[in-house]
Amino acid sequence: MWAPVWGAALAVPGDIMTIDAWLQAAIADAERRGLPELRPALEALARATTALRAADFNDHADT
Amino acid sequence: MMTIEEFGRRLRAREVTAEHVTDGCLRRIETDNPRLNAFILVMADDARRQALEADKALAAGRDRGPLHGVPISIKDLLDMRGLPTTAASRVRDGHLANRDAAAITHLRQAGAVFIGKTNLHEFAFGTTSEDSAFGPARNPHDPARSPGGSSGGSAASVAAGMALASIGTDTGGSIRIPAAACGTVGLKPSIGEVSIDGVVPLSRTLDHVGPLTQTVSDACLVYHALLGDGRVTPPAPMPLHGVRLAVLRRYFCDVLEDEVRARFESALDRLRAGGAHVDDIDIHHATDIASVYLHIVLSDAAAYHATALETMPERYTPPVRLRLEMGRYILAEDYVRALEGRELLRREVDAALAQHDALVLPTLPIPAPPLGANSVEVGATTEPVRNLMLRLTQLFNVTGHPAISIPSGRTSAGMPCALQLVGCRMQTDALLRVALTCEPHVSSEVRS
Repeated sequence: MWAPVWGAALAVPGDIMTIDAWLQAAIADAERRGLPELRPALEALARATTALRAADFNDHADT
Repeated sequence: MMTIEEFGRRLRAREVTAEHVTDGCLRRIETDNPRLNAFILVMADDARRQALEADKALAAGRDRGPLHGVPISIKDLLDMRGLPTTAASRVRDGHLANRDAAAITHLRQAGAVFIGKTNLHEFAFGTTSEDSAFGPARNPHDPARSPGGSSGGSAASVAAGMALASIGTDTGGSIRIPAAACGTVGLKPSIGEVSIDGVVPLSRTLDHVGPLTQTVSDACLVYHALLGDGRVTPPAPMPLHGVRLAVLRRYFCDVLEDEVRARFESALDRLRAGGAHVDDIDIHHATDIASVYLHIVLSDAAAYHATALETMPERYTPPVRLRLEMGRYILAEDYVRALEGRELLRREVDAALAQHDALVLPTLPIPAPPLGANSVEVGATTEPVRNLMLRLTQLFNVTGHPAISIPSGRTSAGMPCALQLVGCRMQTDALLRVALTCEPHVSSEVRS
């Protein structure tokens, strides 16, 4: 079976899984796994995730 | 080049035989496949045997319907009993299918002759058909260009006369994109209508199976055979006068290559002149389509490929491996957000269709791109090829609405352009009727 991709890298800088924190952790994990070439793809994914989270169809518990 | 309808008429008039037409396709494959690389497997002996049996059956009075004796190619993503399903990937080395995909079962029952399995973008995860373990498929109109993807070999096989029709799959546009790039018709039925059982998945929630053909009538025949309803004849076109079409403008027409835009507007003018009522309409959340699609397709694909990515990563082509790896970093909360967006987009497309017979937009914003191009200039901007190729098709995989691509002329360089029509969910037949009606007004001869 496969090992979790994230491994120990899931511990992100800061207290909240912001997109910046997620991206830094994902890049670090990809490099740990010998996939530094994944960085541009992850940066593109981070931009798409930023757009997704900003969409006005998201429900929020505090609003 | 003969359509399925014409073949059927001439077969029953004893003017041609299935064997003769199958031989013609095999000769074309022998001549052109070294240049186009459309086929991964050519089943010459088996196809000749099936064609001969079809001729004997017809002579004995056993007619299986419109696909009786019709040579058809199959994207190498569908299982055919006793054959490998390569998915154009070394990851599948040694695979042998022990049964037919449901779609293949239906085509066998309809009397189709299987001529070979076609090349594709590895695991259907790309829009150009260049990342394949068997080398890139090429466009019959210009072999230096992509035939589109992921069903690129299927479209090339039909456009070049190597088969009378082909079966493809469509997860973000993979039937319609190559159909548009090669100048054929491509139909993505409504989601769930044609079984995806026995098809290597990309995303089980976005995958569709459908036909690539020369005409809308032929698409109708193959679509019904795929449903297991192989004896249906195409409906009569309706009068164009009074057909209500809605053009998707904002976002969908924002980034179009100049000649593609000109062919699209010219097709709309001809439809208006023929009596169609043409409105403009917006999908309010259109700018969210790409992010919603990306989070769903990447997550679904990563789940299916997780084990192989760990155990045999070197067997993937590097671009497809990287794309699959992206999906392993998506958070569950973002996948759920994408599912919320999917529901909203579905309702918005439903609403746009409430007062119209079909939505209309181009299929591709650019002509077929050169093989190897990562980005293309469109007007003042440079855009990644993958984003452009998916831009106008992926919405209808997200929402499940049926969509069909019809040739709509050529650029000055001779490359096909295409128009897309979109119908109400679970009303593919109604969409086909609108497409039959519009086809003579928008199509011109674009096959090679």
